[in-house]
This record gives sequence, C-alpha cells and structure tokens, in this order.
Amino acid sequence: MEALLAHKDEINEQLARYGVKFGIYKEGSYNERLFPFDPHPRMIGAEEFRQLEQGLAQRVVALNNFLYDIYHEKKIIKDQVVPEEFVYRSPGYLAQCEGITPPHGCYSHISGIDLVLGKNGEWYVLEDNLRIPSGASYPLIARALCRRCSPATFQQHRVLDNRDYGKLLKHTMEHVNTGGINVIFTPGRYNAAYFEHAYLAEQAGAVLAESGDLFVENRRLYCRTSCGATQVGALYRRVSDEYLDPLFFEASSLIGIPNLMDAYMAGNVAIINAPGNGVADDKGIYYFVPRMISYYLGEEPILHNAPTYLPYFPEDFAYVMSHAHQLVIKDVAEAGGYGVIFGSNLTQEELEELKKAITAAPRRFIAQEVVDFQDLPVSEGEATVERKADLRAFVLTAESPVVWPSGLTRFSRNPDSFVVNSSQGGGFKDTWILCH
Amino acid sequence: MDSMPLSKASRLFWLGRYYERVAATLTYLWDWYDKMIDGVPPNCKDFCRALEISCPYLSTEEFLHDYVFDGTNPESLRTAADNMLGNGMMLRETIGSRTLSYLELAVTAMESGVGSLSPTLPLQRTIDYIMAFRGCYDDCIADIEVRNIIKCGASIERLSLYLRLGWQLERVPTEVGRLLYRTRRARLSACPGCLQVLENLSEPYNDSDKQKLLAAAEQLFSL
Repeated sequence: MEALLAHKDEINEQLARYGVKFGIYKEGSYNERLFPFDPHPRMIGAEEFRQLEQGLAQRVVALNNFLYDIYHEKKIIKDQVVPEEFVYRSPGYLAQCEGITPPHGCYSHISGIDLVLGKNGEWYVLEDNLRIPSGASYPLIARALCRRCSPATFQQHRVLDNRDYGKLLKHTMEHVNTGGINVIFTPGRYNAAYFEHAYLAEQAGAVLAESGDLFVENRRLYCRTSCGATQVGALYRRVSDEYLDPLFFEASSLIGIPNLMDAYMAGNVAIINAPGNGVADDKGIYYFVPRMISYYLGEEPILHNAPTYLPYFPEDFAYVMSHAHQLVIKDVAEAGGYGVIFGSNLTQEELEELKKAITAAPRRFIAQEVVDFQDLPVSEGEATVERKADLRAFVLTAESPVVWPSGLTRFSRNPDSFVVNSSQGGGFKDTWILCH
Repeated sequence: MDSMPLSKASRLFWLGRYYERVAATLTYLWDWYDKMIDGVPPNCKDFCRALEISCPYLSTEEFLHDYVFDGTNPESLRTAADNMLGNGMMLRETIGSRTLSYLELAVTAMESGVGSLSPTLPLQRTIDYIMAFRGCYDDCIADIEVRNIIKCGASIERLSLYLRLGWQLERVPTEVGRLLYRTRRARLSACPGCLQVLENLSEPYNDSDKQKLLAAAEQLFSL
C-alpha cells in the first residue's frame, strides 16, 4: 500500500490530465474543480461483498417492483403497507407516468445506493438514488490511473477489476434498446457531472447528445447525425424528469426534447432510468423500503436502513420531539447534502424553531439516529487522518441486477463533518473488492 | 462516418481553429519575447489591427502578458486555449480521453506561465502538447471525416493568420491545397463561391488576391 500512497501526487496529476472534474455553481457563476482523490482505497473483502451484493440486488428488485406497482395497480397502497399520501405528495411521483410500462418492465436500470459502514461492522443504507445517480466514472478512471502509477500495488493486492463498467452500461442499454443507437443525453457542458457524461459515452461506445441533437417524429426519437436522422433505441438521460419533455412536464424547459414522452409511451425508445422513479427514492419512501422487500419478495431485508423516524406517525413524532437534539433531521425535498441538520449542532432556540417546522409540516421531514460510522484513513499533507466516508454502490439491471464490483467512496475533508458530498467539498476514493 | 450528432461537426471544426490559433500565434510571437530582451519590441498595435481585435495595451510588454495569458479577455490566446479545451471536452467520446488529455496539459502549461519571469518555457510546453495532440488525433481517430473536419478548421485558421499578418506567405498555396483536399474528405458542405476563389487564385498574390483568399477561407463553411 505504501507504494500507492507514495504516488499520490502523480495520481492527482494524472486525474488533472484527464480532466476529472465536477462543476459547481456558486453565487451565480459556474466553476469547475478537480475532484480531490485520496489514494487509500476502501477495501471490502470477498465475503462481505457477497452479502452486500445480495442485499443490494434484493433492494433494487423490490424498488423496481414498487415502481411498477405504483404506476399500475397500487397494491402496496391498497394493502396499507405504504400510506398513499407518501406516494402522491412525493415530488418524485409523476401522475403523467400512470399506466406506462417501460421496456422489459424495468424502471431503475442504474441504481446508486448510498451506504455507510457502522462501527459495529454492519452496513446501513442511507439513501436510494434511482433517477440519475452519478459518480461511477470517478473510481473507474481512478483505478486505471492508479494501476499506471503504481503497478506493484496491484501485483501485490488481488483486487476485482472494475474497468468493465462501460461494458456493463452498454449491455444494460442494449438490453432495453427498442431498435436504434444508444445515446447518453446530457444537459450540456455546464452540468456539474459533464465529465461523467462524456467519459461514460466514450466507455460505453454511446453517442453523447444534447437536446438540439434530438427530435421526435412519428412517435420515434431521432438523432440528427452526419448520416441523416438516426433512430435512438435507448436514451440514458442525465436530465431531471421535470426537464425531459417540455410538452409533458415543465413547459419552460429548454434542455428537454419535445414529445419524448410520446415516443416513450409508444414503446419506441427506452429511457434509462425511467421517468417517475423519484417516487421510490424519496427520503420519505426510504422508510418503507424494508417493508417493500417483505411485501413484494416475501424475504427479510438483508441490508438495513439507518434507524429512521417519520414524524408523520404520532409515535415517531413524539420521539423526534423529545430526541431532536441527538437526531439528524432531513428535509425530504433537498438533495446533495443540503437540508441535513444535526440536532446536536443547534442552539436551544434553533432546535425549537426546527421542532415548530416539523410540527407544521411533519411529512416534509424524516429523522434518523446518527449512525456512528467507521472513519477511513485519508492522506492530508504528509499525515494520515481519519475522516467520515460513505459508499455509493452501483447496481445495473438488465436481465437481472448486477452489482458493480467497486463503487464511489466519498469522504468528508472536514474533521467534524458527516457530509461527504462533492458539492460540499468532499473528496473520493477508489473502492476495492478483494478477491479473498 | 459513424452516427455523430451534427452539432459535433461544428465543435470539431472550431476545435481545429482554436488549437491552431494558439499554437501558430504563440509560434509567431516567439521572436517578440526575444526582441523584448534587447529593448526593441515589435508594435502590438499593428498586430491587433491585422487581426481586427481591440488594442487596449499600453506597451508590448503588457500586450505579451494580457493578450497571451488573460483568461478574462475574450480576445486573448488564453481564452482561445479555453475554447480549444471546451470544444475538446464536448468531443471526448469522439476524439478519446487520451487525445483530449493533451489539450488539458496544454492549458495547464499555459496557466503555469502567468506571472512567470520566463514565460516562453511554459509556452513552449503549451506548443509541445498541442503538437502531441495533433499527432495523437491523427493517429487515434479512425474516422477520416472526423480528422478532416478538425484539419479544415486548422487550415483555415492558419491561412487567416498567414494572410492577415503577412507571415509565411510562401506557404499559402500549399495550405490552400491542403484545405481543398481536406474539404473534400471531410464531406462538409462548402460555399461554392469560396471554393471557386480558393481553386482559381494562383501566385503571385497581389493585395486584392490576399483579401479575396482570406474572405473565401473564412467564409468557406457556415459552422
């Protein structure tokens, strides 16, 4: 491992050379930053990964079942497993998607599941990302560059190869392709994850296109190419639901494709991930995922949620009111590490304000016990320090869910912070799945 | 050519123009840095007039700093370098990460020259990386049309600089020949009138011929 750590600067130079950046909007202006990389990998043993694999696959199957059910028969609501207001009041629920069945019935082709490893050695799921989970490109390119900078490290450590993500992605797109080319649909150069869009297009051999390149005619999606209008069979969209189609969702969207949903409803193009998935990765719905697993699969959940309370339920409300000072409160409408409040950081006055807000709109919040998760070593100058880190695991679903043997490990660079998001200054690590 | 969005043709073309603008202009200005040592700086006003860019510079020294390195100046070479990289970034899946990495290196080298007492050293690296980029894309991009669209942009930029600055005029006929050859292989739709001018004008060029050639080259494609 020392060999790899000794090459930290060279690895970061290589990452800069390949433009491994993310964009951030601050005070109205767009800036690109290199994504800080730490060479200490997160290591997961083979047996531990097998369990994670099973748990993640189980979770994604249940979430896909849930999405199908919600947009069709709604049995889970009728059977009172999930309260209907959590579905219909979720901003991710799209009434326009009612009755639509995507190709092969698959809604979440690329799922990003955020986990943390507790000090008790147990993994906890913190969040499901079923819309446009980003981040796979970073450990993907980092692995290739680390191997280049320190080949000896990879001769000594037997690590599962993660460099087939492009092939996995291509297979996932091909599986649902309705006839035509594979396209990665990006909002454009100034999107925070543009590097990822372009890099994945290169790796998966897909065409990278923006809204101006795409149009719908006769309920089919086409790309304006040098060979004329070329039909698109699978669209891996990196554009949010609400901006996908101005004639169907947000009318003011300039980055969408008019009538895209019409082509989708006609079964003439697969959209990856399916529109409307936001209802399943809503922070409020998260609470019900273990119940979904039992309901749809008749199995016990292999992976656990972090202990979560919904102030919507009277007993949980009472608990949150009396323990707010030791809980982490999350606004369900926020993402990217925003809207996350640690009760322990608040003054008494602020705590009372928060309780008032929860009382006024209990559906808007969830509360979680602060999981005492394991710190990971991070190089800081010449020293090694311990920092909080999570793991985003990627599950790609074609015929069946496949867990990518790697993942994005994000860490906080602030010693007192649990927030690991890149938009809040966090860095990333490679995730090694060991062969033993 | 494989299925490539039409918007990419424009980006490929401008990628060619911008990289050539950076590399060729730095090569042109190379002597200026040397002349500055002896206290006989060339006149930057003539240069700006020839390129039809504004000339707010109070001295050639200021020009060599701001025109070359100032990223907030939309007419600077630094901005051209940013545009070169920006177009390249939007073509990653077409030109490849390896090829693109030379543009990142070129811009990083240029950035490192800001405030340097020996600016020609980082600028030399900038030129080197652009040369490496040229070799890499020529070698790595299999699609002949893609390569030729980039080269059309580069040829037009080179002709524009030669004709505007009266520099290396002996190379103009060769470059015109290259442009015509590349235009055919890029299969881009070109302005017929411009093609006619480029095909028919021959040496020796008088001032009017040079103006016609410049206009024909710059208006050859509406990309």
